[in-house]
Amino acid sequence: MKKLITLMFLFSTSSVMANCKTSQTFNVEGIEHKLCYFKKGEAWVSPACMKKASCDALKIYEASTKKTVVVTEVEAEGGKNQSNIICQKLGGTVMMAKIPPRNSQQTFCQGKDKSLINANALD
Amino acid sequence: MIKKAHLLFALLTLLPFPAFARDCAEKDLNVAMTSPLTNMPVLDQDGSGSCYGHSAATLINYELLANGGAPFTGIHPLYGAWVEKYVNSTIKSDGLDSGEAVDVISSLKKKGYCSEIEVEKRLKKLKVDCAKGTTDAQLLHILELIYDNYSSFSFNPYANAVESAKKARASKKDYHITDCQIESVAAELRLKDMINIPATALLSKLFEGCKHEDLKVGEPKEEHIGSDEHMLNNVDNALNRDKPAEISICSKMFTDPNFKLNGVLPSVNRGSLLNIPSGCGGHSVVITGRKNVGGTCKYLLRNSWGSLWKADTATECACILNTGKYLDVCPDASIVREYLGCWFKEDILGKNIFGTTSF
Repeated sequence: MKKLITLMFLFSTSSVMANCKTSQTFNVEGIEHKLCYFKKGEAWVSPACMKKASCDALKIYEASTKKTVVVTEVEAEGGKNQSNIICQKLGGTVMMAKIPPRNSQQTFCQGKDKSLINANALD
Repeated sequence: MIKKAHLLFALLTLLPFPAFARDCAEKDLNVAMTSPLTNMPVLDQDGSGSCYGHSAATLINYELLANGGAPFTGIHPLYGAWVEKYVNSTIKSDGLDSGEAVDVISSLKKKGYCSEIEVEKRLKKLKVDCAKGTTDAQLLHILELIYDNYSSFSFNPYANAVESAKKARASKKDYHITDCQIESVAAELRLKDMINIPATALLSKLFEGCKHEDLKVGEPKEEHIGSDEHMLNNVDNALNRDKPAEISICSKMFTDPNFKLNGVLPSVNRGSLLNIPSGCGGHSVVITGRKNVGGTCKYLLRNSWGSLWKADTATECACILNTGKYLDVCPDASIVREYLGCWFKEDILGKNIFGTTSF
């Protein structure tokens, strides 16, 4: 039984990684995350998300594409990054990443299962 | 004669764009290896409405680096916004969510500045417990909520400030911070004896020991009156002197190419209520390049929404590839390390600008 579970785990992991053809490492709040390129959203997502809608970050992305979340003028005042507001309205948490070598900043939206997607993909 | 001149001016302002011969010589401040921009990160203002602070910091830091300054010793954008609101001005009632780049520059010139590195070190000390992982933008917003609700007449100023901040957060529907973050920051401020003081005193206490340098930059020039053409000419003037230009725009242009200001007479402030349509989404960004594409002038717009930001309405964006190479038009997002901005046609940009600032 244990062998079967191990085999199933290995199979599911390898199939996820097989879908991760292009990856890039991001330092999100001090922790290195290897993220996969998600072509449809031109975004970077956690490897677990490469299986269709299998992670919370991708669920947040899919919900954002339905354009049901409205960011009001007051909420966006001062040129706020509206993607981040959408992330939070859809139950995500905004995390800051630094991109070497210049330390450029990029926010990511984290789902409840800790999966990530770059916040700009949400609109 | 006067009447004729007025008539001519009115007619000129009504003419469509192509009637003006624009100087559209190629200029991209991102190209040269020696450009200050090569050492300036693309920032993400997150949930803080401090776009004007970010633009001001970009203009200032460009000047400082061009004059031989070291990277990361320039202005922290949020510090600039805070100084403008709480130190230089005593009568403003609006929050950090609104302001102008030119006011930030003027405030910092008057008050001096604490370097970006020093500001980050001091802000980090307040990020404890629930506030661990809090971004600088979130932290500044929490401080704003706490100190906007400060009252020295309260029976229990600490509890009052915390509860008022939490209520304000709820009423403003501030999704990007939590009550727990507010409580953690407030508790840390109390430990440091910084809770029961006005916002101006907080700044001097929090940044005590930080060397406040004199800001040695020129006088910024801002304009809010004139035609679309005039606004673009201001941008051109800056670029022709190898300097970036700040522009105040409707961010709606990032998603709607047909969006524009109401276009009332050029003698009226373009940023007035008469001119700003509903849904504009006032924003402040920086122009860092210009090029001629098939007879149309395009401008490179640098935003403060992160290094992977691209506008829906822009078909071309500049970037640095994973290899470190700069491209003014990037073909594929999967090989991009960071975007440096997107190109917008002159007509789309011109009809959405309601102010310019440059050195």
